Amino acid sequence: MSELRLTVDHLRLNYNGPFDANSLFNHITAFLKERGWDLKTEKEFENNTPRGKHIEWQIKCWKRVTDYIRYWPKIRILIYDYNKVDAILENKKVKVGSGRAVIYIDGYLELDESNRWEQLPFFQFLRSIYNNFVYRVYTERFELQLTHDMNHLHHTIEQFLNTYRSYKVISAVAPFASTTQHKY
Amino acid sequence: MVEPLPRTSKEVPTWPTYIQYKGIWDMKDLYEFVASFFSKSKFKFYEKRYIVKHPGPFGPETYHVWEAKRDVEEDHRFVVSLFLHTYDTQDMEVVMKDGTKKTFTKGRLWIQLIGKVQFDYDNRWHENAFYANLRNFYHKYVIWKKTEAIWWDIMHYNYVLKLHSMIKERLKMEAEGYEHRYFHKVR
Repeated sequence: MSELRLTVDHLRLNYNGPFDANSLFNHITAFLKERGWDLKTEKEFENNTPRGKHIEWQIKCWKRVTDYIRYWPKIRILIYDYNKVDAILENKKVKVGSGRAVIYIDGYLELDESNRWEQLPFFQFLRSIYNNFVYRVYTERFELQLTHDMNHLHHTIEQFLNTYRSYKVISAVAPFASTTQHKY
Repeated sequence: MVEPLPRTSKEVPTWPTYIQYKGIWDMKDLYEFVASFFSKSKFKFYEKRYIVKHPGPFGPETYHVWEAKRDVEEDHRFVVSLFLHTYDTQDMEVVMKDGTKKTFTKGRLWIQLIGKVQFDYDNRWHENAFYANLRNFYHKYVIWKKTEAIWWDIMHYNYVLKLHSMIKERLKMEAEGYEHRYFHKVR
């Protein structure tokens, strides 16, 4: 097992208000694809509840920076009470999603990603010496780069959500809300 | 962690992809849609298992095990396996926009998709140890790059992930959409 370092620990973003969940997912995917990341969807859950949709979406993306280093961010989005609501935008009535979103971003740095220094304990010791002392400057620089990338993503998500500031929500009714009480 | 593709000699699998859904859906439509997707893509579609379990307190539980196979060449084929698990289900009558009534299913749905590229599916190189080792060498070293970069990619992006996204669209999930859907397929 190669050395894995948690570099970005639970970078968090809370949001409550109008936003389009599908556009948010597409925004994150496009951000990563444009910058040469590959990704896989780990969780794709959607539950309809009386108060709205509960969505959980988690992706894991990766990028090989060198033949020794790989970045492994994990992005997890939890959306609660998500409903389609009527809103007013520039004096026009539009439909937009609304709910509460919590976004977590974790960034892992994988050193020796091909497991080349894994066979003997002595090799592992050498690897640790190199990572922590000899090539310390390089390792820290990669950590900083990953942190910068994740902060950049966090910032663009904030910008994306900020575009919904001009929407004025005028109704909020859950599609599954009914007069009878369901227990979920 | 996503590891590099495992170097097995008989098959190269993808990682499993999941969908979890709770709400109302049209099971008949979903079944027909998946079957038609595979038949359009020149797969043979098999319904391998249909297991109805003893109903729980919230409703019946059903397992559907589906499999689709496509013999791409003499030596390799694509296999896509689907496992659908429905539970706490109830039949619901829904009035459509044109006034007709349809029976939908309300409950929970769990879908797992796994694809794999299978080699030597007719077991032609299975007769003795020498043939088997020859086959393993061929798959491991001679055509490995082609397997990894072309066949596996086609199966994963054009069938497994595409079907995954189309099922999400069918269920009208918020996370619908897939960046490789209109993949230009130019190499």
